[in-house]
Amino acid sequence: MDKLLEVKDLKVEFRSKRETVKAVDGVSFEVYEGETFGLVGESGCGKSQTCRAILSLLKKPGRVVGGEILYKGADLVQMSPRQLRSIRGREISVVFQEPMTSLNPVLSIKRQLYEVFPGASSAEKWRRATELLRLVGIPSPEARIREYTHQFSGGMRQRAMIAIALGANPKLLIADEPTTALDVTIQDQVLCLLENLKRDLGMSVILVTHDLGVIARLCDRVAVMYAGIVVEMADTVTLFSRPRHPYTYALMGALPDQGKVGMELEAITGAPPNLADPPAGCPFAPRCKFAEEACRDRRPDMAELEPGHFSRCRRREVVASFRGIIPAPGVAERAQA
Amino acid sequence: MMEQANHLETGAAEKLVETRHLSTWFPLKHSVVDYLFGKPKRHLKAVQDVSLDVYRGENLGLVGESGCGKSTLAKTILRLYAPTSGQVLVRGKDISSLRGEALRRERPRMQMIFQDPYSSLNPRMSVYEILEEMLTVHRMVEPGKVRERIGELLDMCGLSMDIAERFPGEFSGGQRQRIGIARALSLQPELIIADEPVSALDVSIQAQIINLLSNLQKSLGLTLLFISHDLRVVRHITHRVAVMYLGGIVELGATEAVFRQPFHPYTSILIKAAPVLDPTQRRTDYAITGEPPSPIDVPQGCRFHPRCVHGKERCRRELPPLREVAPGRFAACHFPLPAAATNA
Repeated sequence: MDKLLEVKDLKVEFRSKRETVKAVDGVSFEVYEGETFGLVGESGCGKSQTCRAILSLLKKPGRVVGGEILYKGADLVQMSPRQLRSIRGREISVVFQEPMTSLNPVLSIKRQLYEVFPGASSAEKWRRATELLRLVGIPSPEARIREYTHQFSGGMRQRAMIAIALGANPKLLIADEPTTALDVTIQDQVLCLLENLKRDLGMSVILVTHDLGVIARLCDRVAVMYAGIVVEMADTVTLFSRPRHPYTYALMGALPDQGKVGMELEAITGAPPNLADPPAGCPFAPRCKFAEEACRDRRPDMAELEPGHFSRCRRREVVASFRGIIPAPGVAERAQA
Repeated sequence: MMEQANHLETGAAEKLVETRHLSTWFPLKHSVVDYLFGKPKRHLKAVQDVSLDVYRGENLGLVGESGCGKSTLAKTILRLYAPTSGQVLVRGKDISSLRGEALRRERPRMQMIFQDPYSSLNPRMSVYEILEEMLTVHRMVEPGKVRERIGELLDMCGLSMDIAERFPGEFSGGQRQRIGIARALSLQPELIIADEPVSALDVSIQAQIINLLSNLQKSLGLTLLFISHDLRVVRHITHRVAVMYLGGIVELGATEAVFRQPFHPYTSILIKAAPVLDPTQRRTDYAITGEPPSPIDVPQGCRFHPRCVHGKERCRRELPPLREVAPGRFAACHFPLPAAATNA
């Protein structure tokens, strides 16, 4: 498979008179054609800022201070606003968490969808716009297209948002917490929709979420972020069966799941570090059960433990024994043999 | 009224709170023009004929999607809303018609923990003042013992007296939620209603608060009504669970039993829709299509019938009552799911 997007050592800072917050501090990953790549982490870990940097939509005073974002080999960071406009919204589209704030309340859904097809005849616009709404599962699109966002429910707004994002046949869809504000049955519908669209249209998707359940449901590969860096990256099944970073492992321990009913959850003590004054060593060390003195001195490098499985932890002999929340593929068969 | 908790493990089944055919409706705007044209007054039927028992010492989960009436039910139990009809009994005493001083005397016995730890604490009061106010207004302790009691409360919630002089704005979400819990505990309530207490928190912090609530409940013998849309959390922490849909309870039973074998089709769909933490078990079909109808125009007959794949003629005509379909298991369905349809 070909690389569609390559993020190399990306650094994003928010600089103010008082302090400099290193929101993203050296993030690297690749997204291949046709895959769904997950970015998972807790609030403030830099997952959303990474996406905003890819789209050049960082809010002030945030800016990219280092690294490259290569889209089909061209660096988006170096591009002029004009060049960017030919890519953003056409080749790379985005769906945000809050459909209410990212849709325009004073324009009809029709007007907002029509903007995606500049130059098309109005008959053509009508045909494509209603087709898109039908594709994302909005009932009687010919009538609903004339309505405004306040007349839509939360799930429908998110569908309308996805329809607009898909309008230009993007190669890459960035979905930033697309289902966080939705109820479970509606979340299920939107996730199914994303999965089916990705398959049918052959897009790549970057899915940003705090929910490992959403990752398990949709993603082919996943990067776990903590305090502005990627701490572990692997294909999803590997990550769930063999986590190799104490943070990933701790996250899985903290999640309630059916096997743990009535038991104490393994909470992670403390809180993430302040990124205006990040620790010199591994950012997770202050909360890590396995941290040693050396972990606090120097930030560990990313190491490839097995093909395609990266972890940023010094204590390899400890993490090697971690067991995930699903059995490793093949283990059950071997045990029976 | 049937016994809803025959099969509670806790054994001692003393009813702390009972709701009897409780309904809470909110009137919609009725303009002069509507009146002149003889249009009937319309209501949003947030809670409709709910009879639910909360037993002392249990943790009862209340789940459902937004707009199903779970928060309204909780607030009606607290008498933050006046019920349209029906009764709320606390220790056998009807509080639905209490007013003034009599109601104020009941209030401290029931406390609430809110979802948003950012807006539910007064930003201009220090932690000490927040707790002091509760203790003195309700005369919980002698004036000389206030400080000592505040120390105890903070300690119970995993905080220390060092933070007492600080203001809510200085804390993270998890710590604020601990302060909210300390505030609720300060009045030594018999019932705590926790409305989505961990939904706004990150997973690692969420686990701390779940453990705290669960430990406090055991050590203080609290009765907890735990409202959440997160089925994993509810399954983890509650003893019994009530599932709401469009203002009514559609299923009620011991939590693990309900999750293993739901009787109501809606419960089964909710469980199916929640993402499973296993990438090797992916579904690509929809759990259910469409969205719940508006609580202003509640469907005739069974509320769920327009979306139910098992719907039959009878479901369109008759509203099924919540009835015991298996020992200790209640469902509001004419045709409960067979035992074979087991959810793992």
